[in-house]
Formats: sequence, structure tokens, C-alpha cells
Amino acid sequence: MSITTENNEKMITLMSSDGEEFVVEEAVAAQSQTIKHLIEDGCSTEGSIPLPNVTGRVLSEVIQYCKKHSSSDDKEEKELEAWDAEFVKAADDHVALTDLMMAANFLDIKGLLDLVAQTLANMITGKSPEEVRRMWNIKNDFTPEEAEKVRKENQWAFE
Amino acid sequence: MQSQGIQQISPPRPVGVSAAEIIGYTEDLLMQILIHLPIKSLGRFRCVSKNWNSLITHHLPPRTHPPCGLLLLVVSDELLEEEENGNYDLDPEGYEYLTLGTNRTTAPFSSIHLDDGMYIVHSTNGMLLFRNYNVYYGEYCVYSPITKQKTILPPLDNVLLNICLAYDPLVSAVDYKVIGLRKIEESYRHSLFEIVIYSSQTGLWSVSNTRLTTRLCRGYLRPVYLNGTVYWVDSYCHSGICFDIEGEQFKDFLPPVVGYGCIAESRGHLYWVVKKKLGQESDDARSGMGFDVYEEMGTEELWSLKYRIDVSPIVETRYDYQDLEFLFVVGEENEDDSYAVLDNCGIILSYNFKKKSFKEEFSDHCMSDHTYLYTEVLAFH
Repeated sequence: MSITTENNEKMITLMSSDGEEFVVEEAVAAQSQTIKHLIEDGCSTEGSIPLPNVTGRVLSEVIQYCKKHSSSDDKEEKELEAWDAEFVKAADDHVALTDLMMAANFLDIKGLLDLVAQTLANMITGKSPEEVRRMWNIKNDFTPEEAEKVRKENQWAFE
Repeated sequence: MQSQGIQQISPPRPVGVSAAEIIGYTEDLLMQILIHLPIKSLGRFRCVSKNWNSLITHHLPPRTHPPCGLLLLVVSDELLEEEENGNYDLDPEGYEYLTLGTNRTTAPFSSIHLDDGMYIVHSTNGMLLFRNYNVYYGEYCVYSPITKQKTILPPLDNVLLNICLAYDPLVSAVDYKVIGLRKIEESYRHSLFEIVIYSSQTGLWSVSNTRLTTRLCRGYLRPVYLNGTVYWVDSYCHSGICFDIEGEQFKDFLPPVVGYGCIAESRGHLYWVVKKKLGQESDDARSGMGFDVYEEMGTEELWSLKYRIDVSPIVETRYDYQDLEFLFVVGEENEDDSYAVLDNCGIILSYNFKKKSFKEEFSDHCMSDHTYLYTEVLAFH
């Protein structure tokens, strides 16, 4: 059963991994290629689309983004850019941004994926390898000899 | 890289593992971040882990928005005054980097400081060739502003007419050749040329067996290197030569339209740019003012008129047509952003082909003969 609004917009329900439900216009949700395909394949007839990889907190941010981007047209490009900048700023730290990026990837929303990737890139541009490892909990798997060699090869990048 | 439909739904994340931990190991996502990083960060991040090193070294695609800018020898007012007083020994301190194009956030460096007597003589794909004018016959030096590696080439026993750095990091990140053109005989109508080649693999100069007799030229300007071939065109005698480095073969270069022109290269395409003569197309001189940009189509010496630059709007207001010179074509991934770089006595202008709009990029004075395009190609392999 699908709900329609006064404007005759078709609404669908998205369910996050922690069971939170979000009712959104189909046009908004369809910015996610993944959801769009699920709708086309008739997976939404049951009433709601489960999104097992996305928590309610992240999903509400994603929906915010999709709403903004489905209601704006090209003329508002500048305003949209400013909105995007505020949006990623609100995500605050790399953990929240990483969550958002995983969700954008899973939901296949190219604009959001690019936006978050660029933000994360800006965040790490000036960092050291140690800081990047700490940020994302990456293990340094070079042997001491290998580490010295690769460091030497790239000495120019540390100056 | 992009997920297609629902096939790529990954299993729910294991409890207790944060997204932040996963992303550092998820190659698709990592790559999305890495493509936005400047080359220096990438060099550093090769030290993060084996996986990062391998991704950056072998899997990162060529840049769609490479940093692009001009290297300008800026002439200070003091120096200009000295010149006016008859002192021609201009010795500016270094090259300034002027960022161009759509991606203006990533200037790879701000300036290049010069040793005394050193000038850039050629620039290809992010690598620079310097000449030391304090050394007789010229001492040449290949320099990467990113890695700051400097290689001084062995001395030459004769003066070169022209020199070109043949470096394509998509073919080899470390190897390059330097191609020198030398005039060995000059008669009333023709000149005899030979080629000397420096190879970074041998570290030596060698003289090519092939020689070429061609029409007398006042001198070839601004060589262009593209796909294993060096192009020299003389804007005065309206013709040129090209040299296939691998086969060591000379060929005549026949521009599609004869005229006062220059050759240019961008994103693997070759261009021939002709400055229109006044009154060429109509009686109203101003409507004929501009440059025609021809693009080579494939290898069959087929050319098409790609862009027309009508400069009458800016000539009416502030520039003198005689002084406008064409410098470079810069192709962008999105063709609508592609532009040309023009010079008006040291003032640098960009011209967007699609919007047909001019923009003054640099309005102090620089030495236009010493202006080089810098575009960086990412390569670590």
C-alpha cells in the first residue's frame, strides 16, 4: 500500500537498520539509484524498504540531502553549493563523514558520494601517514626495511 | 567502481566495527577520496600501508582535473625602470605560479626560485627543462617542481637552436628524453639540421643519424611534444618539421592553413592556431580580428576548424590587436570549460571557448617569451 500526499506525490517508507521509519516522496528517495531500482523491481509494495546498512541517524542526513537536491533546479547552483558546504560542515568529524560516505555508496547517490569524498580528501590533505592510520585505524603492515624504502622514495612529499 | 543496482548490497556491518575502520580498507571508497588529493599528499600516503601504496602507485586513474597553471617571470617595476635606462640585464628572482582553469584549489607550488642565469626553456607534463645561460653552449637541467629532483645533463659541445623535453608519465614515470635541434649548415635557401637526443636511461647525449634539409627559417619557437613526436613550427615561414623520437624520423609538418600561427597541445590533441590578418574577411577590419584554432583529427593530417576566437570585443576596449599573441590551448575534461591563454605584452588573458568570454588572469607585467604552461600528470609507477 502506498500513501499519496495532497499534491498526489507518491510516498514511500524507508526503514533504517535500527528500525526507524522515514516516509519520503518517491522522487526524493529515487535520488538513490539503489532505492530507485528497488522501486522499479517492485520491492516497495510491501510498504517499506529496509536499508540494513544505514542507521536512522545517517539515513535522516541522507534524506535531508536528497530533499534539498530534488527541490532545487540548476538556477540555484550557487545556493546549492553553499548548502552542501554547510551540510558537510554539520557532519562535523571524519567518523560521521565516513558513515555518510558508506551510506552514499550503498545507496548509490553520486552527488553525495562526491561531496563527502572531497570533504574527506580536504580533511586529510595535510596530514601525516601516522595521522591517517589513526583516523581510520589502519595497520602499518610494512616491515621496517620496506617502510624505510618507501619513505625514502617519497621523501619529497614530506618536505 | 559505482555500485550497480542492488547486486552490491554488502552484508550488514559486524557489530563493534566502525565505518571509519572499514573505509580505510575498502578500495572503492578509498579511491573516491584519493582521486581528490594533491600529488604531494599522495606521495606521503604511500607510506600509510601496503594497500594504500599499491592503490596509489598502480590503480589511481589519470587526473581528470590536473592542476593547471602558468609559470611567469614577473618583472618588477624596478627592473622595468632599469631596462628603460638601457640596462637589459633583467634578472628576476623566479617564476611565479598562476593557477588557471576550473580546479583552482590545488596549486602544486607557489613559485620556483632561480639560480643565477637559469631560465626555463621547456615544460612538458609537469616536468621542466632549465638552461643555464652562464655556461657557454648552455648547460641544461631537468627539474621536477614536485619531487624537487634536479638532473644536470652532460655538457654539449655545440650550441642548440632549440630544445624539447619529451616526458610522458603515462608511458614512464621516471624516464624521459631531451631532444635538441641543431643547425649544422645554412645556405641562401635551405638549412641542414640534425638532432641530438639525451636519454635519462643512458645519461648520455647521442647524435641521430637522420638529418634534414629544409627551408631556411629564422628559428623554431616553442616546440611541442605529443605522443612520441616533437613538433617545431616557425611562425614566420609558416611551416614546420616534426621528429618521431622512437623511429628517429623527420617529417614535414604541414599546417592546414598558412598564416602567422603557432602549434599547441592539450589532452593528447594537437592544435594549429592562426592569427587572422586584419581585413582578411571583410572590409570592416575589426570583424576579422581573432584566432582560428584547428584540431588535428587522427594521423592523416586531417584538420578541422575547432574554435574561432573573436577578439574584437576586447580590442575595442583596451587591447591592441598587434600585441595580442596566442599562447596555449587548455582542454578540460568537460569541454565547456576548455579555454585558450592569450598574452598582451605581458598581460595574461584566458578565453573560454564555449562562453566566448575573456578574463584578465594576470595584469602585472611578466615576460611573455618566458611563459610556460604547467600541467601535471599523476604518475608513480
